[in-house]
Amino acid sequence: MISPITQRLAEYVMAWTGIQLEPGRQPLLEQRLTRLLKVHTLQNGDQLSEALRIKSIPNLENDFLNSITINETLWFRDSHPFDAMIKLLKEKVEQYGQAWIWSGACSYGQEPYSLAMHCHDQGLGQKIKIIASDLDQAAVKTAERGIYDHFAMNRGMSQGFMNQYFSHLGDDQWEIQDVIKNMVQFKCINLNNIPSFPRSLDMILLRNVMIYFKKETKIQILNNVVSQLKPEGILFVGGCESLIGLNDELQMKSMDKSIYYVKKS
Amino acid sequence: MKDLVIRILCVDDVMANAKLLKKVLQKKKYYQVDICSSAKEALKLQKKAPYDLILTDYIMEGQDGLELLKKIKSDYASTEVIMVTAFANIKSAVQAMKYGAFDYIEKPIQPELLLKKVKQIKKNLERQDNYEDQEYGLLKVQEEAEANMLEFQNIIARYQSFTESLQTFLNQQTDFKKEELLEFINSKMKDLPN
Repeated sequence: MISPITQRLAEYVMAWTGIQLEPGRQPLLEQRLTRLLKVHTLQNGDQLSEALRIKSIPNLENDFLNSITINETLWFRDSHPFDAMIKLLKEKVEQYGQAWIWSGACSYGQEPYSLAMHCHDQGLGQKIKIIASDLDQAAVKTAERGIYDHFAMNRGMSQGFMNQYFSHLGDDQWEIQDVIKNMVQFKCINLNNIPSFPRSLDMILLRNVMIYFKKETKIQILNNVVSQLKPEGILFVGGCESLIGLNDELQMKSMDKSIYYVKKS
Repeated sequence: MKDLVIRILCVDDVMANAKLLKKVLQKKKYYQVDICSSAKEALKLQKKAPYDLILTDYIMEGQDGLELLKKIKSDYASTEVIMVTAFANIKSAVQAMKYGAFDYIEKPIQPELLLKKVKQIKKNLERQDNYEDQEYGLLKVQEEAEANMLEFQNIIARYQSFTESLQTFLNQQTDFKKEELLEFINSKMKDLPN
């Protein structure tokens, strides 16, 4: 049997993306990487690591990132944070006239589109700009198309928003309408190497993302994430996550059932 | 869902037949097709890196397609097998299904029908992959939640301990200066999280 995840590959990927590949412990990733090795006629993880490093195979990088990213996502994951986001965004819009948001590691776009629909529904459509990113170029392209099948739609989408913001294309496909698409701009971003955004951000969503990183990587990512926020800018992480002891610039706050973090001014 | 490249092995002791299957399947960019001319060779290739789908001729020299099917399904449950047969009849079809074949197709091959069956396998695999993605994501959420729950319990315990120490201090020392109390609080607060 092929050994897709080798120590050398794991080290290379850690330095590049911050994602931890654990040899022998991740059957799903091993299965995907075995497939990738065969498709690109590579013998093992060491050869894969070398081919990635010297960029000797076209499309290998994209195929590889597609293989190691986890695309578990829902519409309106845990509904209550969205209510808190709207209240906080209304304050930001009142203060600055508009609000800029970044949704990091957005997979197929369910999170940024969920927030865009919610904002539009609450009359904030013209005032909100969302930048949404993922490491996986294929996921970003799918998100940009904004077309989902029944299987994807069934995961958290309400009938009301489905009727209001989607066009049924037939053949098991629903497309999100332009009024929502236009509120979101997609980019490929590696969280391990975050570029500077052209403007400081009012809110960042990084929900259930850092659970895939080890502590040192989380600290480094958080430092870079926080530097993109305006003073008193807001960060949401997943409901199960805690940033205690990871960053001194953030202050934990709560609203109803939701926890969020504010950058100290 | 991730768009998976499906790895397929076509097995036929008449190589021209295996090549024909490959030609049909390779019209789609997401099928990667290998061919070989015996069950023995197929098992060798399968051992190196399991295929998603094996299309095998029913009747072959040496080990036949049914034997290959049995071996594959017993050792590699997730590999699908489609039997290719020149003499499709109910009996052979039932037999193949009984041993776990996904389906069977008759010769001469109808390209559209072949592609339709293989597309179904691609879709099933992508669903399975997506399901495993979800499982993995939920597992990580659960791990994170459990780790944080422990941390929060630890924090609560430290605050409780702080309150108890303060209570003891206040009970034991009825006459103290404000500075002494502050010093005591500061010394104990070192144990508390920020």
